[in-house]
Amino acid sequence: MKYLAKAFFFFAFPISTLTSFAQKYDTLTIKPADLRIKDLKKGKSTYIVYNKKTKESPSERITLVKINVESKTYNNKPAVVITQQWDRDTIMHSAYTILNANDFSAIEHDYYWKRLGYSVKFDFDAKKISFDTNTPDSVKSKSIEDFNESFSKYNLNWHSDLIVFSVLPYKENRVFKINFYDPGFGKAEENFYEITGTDFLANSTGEKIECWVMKLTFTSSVGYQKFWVSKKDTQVLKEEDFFNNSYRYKLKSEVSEDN
Amino acid sequence: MNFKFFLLSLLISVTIINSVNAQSTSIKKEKFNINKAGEDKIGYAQAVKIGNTIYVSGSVGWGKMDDALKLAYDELEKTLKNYNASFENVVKENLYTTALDSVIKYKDLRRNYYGNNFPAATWVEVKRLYDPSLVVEVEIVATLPDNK
Repeated sequence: MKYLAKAFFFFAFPISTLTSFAQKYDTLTIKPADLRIKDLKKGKSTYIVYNKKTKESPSERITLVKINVESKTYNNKPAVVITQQWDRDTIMHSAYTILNANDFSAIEHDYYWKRLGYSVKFDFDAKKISFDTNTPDSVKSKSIEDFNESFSKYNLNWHSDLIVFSVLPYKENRVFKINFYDPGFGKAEENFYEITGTDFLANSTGEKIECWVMKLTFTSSVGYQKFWVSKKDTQVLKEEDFFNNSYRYKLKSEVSEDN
Repeated sequence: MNFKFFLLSLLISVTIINSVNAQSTSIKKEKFNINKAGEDKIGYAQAVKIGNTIYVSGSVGWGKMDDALKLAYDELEKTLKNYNASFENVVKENLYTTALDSVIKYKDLRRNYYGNNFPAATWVEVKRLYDPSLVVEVEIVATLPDNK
């Protein structure tokens, strides 16, 4: 009986925990129909990005990330064009992404990184990659392999995650299962973004902004990404990342440089 | 000898006739593509110029009708610019839409492109366009002056 009670406790505890998890969280595997693309906010926005060794440390490597989202058409199809530029004294990085506006799948993704010294263009329509002459052969072969594999399953552009997050159907206790692919930086992979609750951020006038808090916990290494998403307009206002034993923040600027 | 001469004359005549026919049926189409690979895949060219006349394929728009009209007319403008032309050169416009009332509501947006120099125009409501989420498609014909 004693052993039976022990066995019951041993099995019952994890089962009850799982049951409460299942009840608490509703996992939504993101499909095109789940995205609220009609509500996509177009226009320019700027994020201030910086690193910190600890939460109390001074900010380092302060960078401006300028993003522009525009409606376009591409070969008679509705499209969304996202341009991103990372400035820190010089252009550190730029990216140009065309997404199909019906399902947010990528049509084209081009990137340049100054630290890498090369640029690459991924044409999803023609299933073709164009590398510039500085691209190392090892990068080419890995990029081609991952690119070809990416067509096997619906995925979203990881490099445009802040834009993707602005069209998700937020709900309390929801987990978004998203197959993200960042062309040129590994294979497409499924990630679980958990809505952990509600929090408030203050704007420059002291007004409290109610936000969803969404967290991705890394499985392959120690770390996480946390996003504060405005409940009012589903814009990502703040991101806190922890990886390599240090923090990185992204804060959305209230005004953009241009009118 | 006479028969050989006859055959030779026949051969020359046929060659001349074919040559004349070939000249009369070949036309010089100057094509403009925004995305050649994509246009070839579907089977069209963004624009074709014959003589002084430019035929521009339907340019499309999606989303809210005011945004959609802007997308379509911006692309037409880009195409006309390729020929150093503008909306002043447009003589005919055919507009197809899935929501004609919305187009009528925003009809004044066309003034941003045409000013008051409107072409002959036809607007038609249709069930759907190339992609189901498209709401408007505009095709135009433009004419260039003789010296262009």
